[in-house]
Amino acid sequence: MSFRRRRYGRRKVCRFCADSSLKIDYKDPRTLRLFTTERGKIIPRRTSGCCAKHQRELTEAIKRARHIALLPFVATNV
Amino acid sequence: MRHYETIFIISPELSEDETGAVVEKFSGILTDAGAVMVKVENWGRRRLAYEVKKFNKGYYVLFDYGAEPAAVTEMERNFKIDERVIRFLTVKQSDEFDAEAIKAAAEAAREEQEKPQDEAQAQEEAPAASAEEKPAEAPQAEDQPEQAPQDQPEEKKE
Repeated sequence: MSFRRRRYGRRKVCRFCADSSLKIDYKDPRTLRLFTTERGKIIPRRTSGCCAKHQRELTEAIKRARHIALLPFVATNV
Repeated sequence: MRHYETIFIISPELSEDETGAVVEKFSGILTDAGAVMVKVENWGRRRLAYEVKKFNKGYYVLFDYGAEPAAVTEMERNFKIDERVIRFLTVKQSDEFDAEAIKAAAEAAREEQEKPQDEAQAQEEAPAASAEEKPAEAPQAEDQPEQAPQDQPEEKKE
């Protein structure tokens, strides 16, 4: 029936679209960390609910943050 | 002129004077090449997320400046040579550079940051009272979609 399409009642909304004061910045590992798993992987769009535009910015920012060692590529001590 | 931002990490083993000298050296390279520094931020010694050149900590420095591309390549060439710098990253902020506009924007952002904090606090307190009802409903809607009143009837017909 319908439960395949509507498992959850509410559609997730992009957090960056909803709150314009929230900025994506590669220098801010605290915010970026919300969008990575414990292991340090980037959380996919289907889970985070981000819109395509912001997810793209987010991956870019996370990758930059990784390069300057603000975020881990892999977190081993979990 | 383009607007750039560079972050680099200096070895944590150096003394304060020595790290200061490194920062001087690289800001000197930039200004010699005709760059205009907007700000230099010392983030201080921080823990690295992973080991870089056998170091677990590093001294972060942020440069915000306007320069020609040649100045940046010159600085990065020197970063590679200098063993005291363990990592660097340059990001182009925009193709045009206007020092005054950037300063004005920075000040506006600072003022805005101060104001919304008060508003945000007020907002947080206000919904807290009315939010008590909503979360009670929301989880139900998530767990048992059949009870969600609006969309459900149509889909059942299908």
